[in-house]
Amino acid sequence: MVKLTSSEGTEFDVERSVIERSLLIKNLLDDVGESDTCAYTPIPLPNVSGPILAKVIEYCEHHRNDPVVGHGDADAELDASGARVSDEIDEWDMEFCKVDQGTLFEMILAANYLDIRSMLDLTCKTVANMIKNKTPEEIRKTFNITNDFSPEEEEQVQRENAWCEDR
Amino acid sequence: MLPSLLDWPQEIVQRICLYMPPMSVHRLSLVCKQLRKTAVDDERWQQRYWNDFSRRRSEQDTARFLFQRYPGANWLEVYLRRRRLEKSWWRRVLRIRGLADEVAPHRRNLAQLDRSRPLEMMEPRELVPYMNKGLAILDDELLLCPETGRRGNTLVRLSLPIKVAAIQLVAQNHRYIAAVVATKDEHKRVLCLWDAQTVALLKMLELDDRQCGGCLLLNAETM
Repeated sequence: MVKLTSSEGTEFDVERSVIERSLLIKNLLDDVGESDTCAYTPIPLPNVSGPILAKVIEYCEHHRNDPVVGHGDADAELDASGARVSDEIDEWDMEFCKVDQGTLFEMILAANYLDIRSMLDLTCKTVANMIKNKTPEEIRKTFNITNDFSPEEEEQVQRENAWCEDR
Repeated sequence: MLPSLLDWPQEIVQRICLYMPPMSVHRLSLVCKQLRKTAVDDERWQQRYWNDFSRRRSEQDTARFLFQRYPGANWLEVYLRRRRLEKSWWRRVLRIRGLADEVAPHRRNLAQLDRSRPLEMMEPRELVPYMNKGLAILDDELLLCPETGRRGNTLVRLSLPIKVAAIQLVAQNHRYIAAVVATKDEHKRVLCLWDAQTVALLKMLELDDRQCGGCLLLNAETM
């Protein structure tokens, strides 16, 4: 077992084989070796809050038998054009990502920090699905972005966009 | 409400873009200046659309691709300005670039660039400097790929409805360097292009019948 400590100090016990989906932790444990030290010394994760760490562990436990996607496989999902082969999300993953938007954002950051590539892809796909088919104005509202184009620039960009969509 | 996308690490926004269709990425780039830069500056994103484009055949998709690939370029403004001038922008471009004197109405004139030998005597590779120099007119059989020296390395064929039957584009390192314009009277011309932006301009002018006539007739007859 491995003990993890969230940013608030909450401790989580998790099986090593589960949490090794995180390449960050896997590399850390590999460096420490087979000693029992890691079982008693909590690994501090100051960038991950307790609720988010719980979600991460839930994800890792569900996908414990999946092959681990590492850095070298980062582009494995890319087709010849560089686009993702599939943006499909399976049912469990879809339910897993049904969280409020703030939580989803923290999950992305946690997956990025802990280097869990499959979870990062999943959460990015989810956000991509939220953005797809939205107008620029809708995206601004969704993501709390201020339009910093001047009226002239915006008009120009809108005209460009209209031309593009009309074609 | 999500924290602003602007606060997200750039590589994550770019990763998200990989899961979005082209138009969605383009719309995202219209949200604000920073996102515009993040969404379309990623090299992999541009490569994705380049490859996407190279597989496409239709004129509509081509125009759309070129627009998407260079969303920062003010194509519409360029088009409208040219239209206001109601003059051939080709002449102006050539004049600005100091190439007007080098544009040949006939292949003979191009051959004169090399005073020592006629064009027919040149090897394909020897023609590359002329092609890269600006606008030239060659016979179709001399269409070649500067990289390999092989002839007929046609990347894309576009069907045009008016005056011009087809354009064949030749690319080198993801940049257009030449186009063959085949007119309906079956005369073919090879135009050396400076880059894909020139092609985009040509495509946009083609949207307007009058400008199309001005532009493409110039290719076929005036030059």
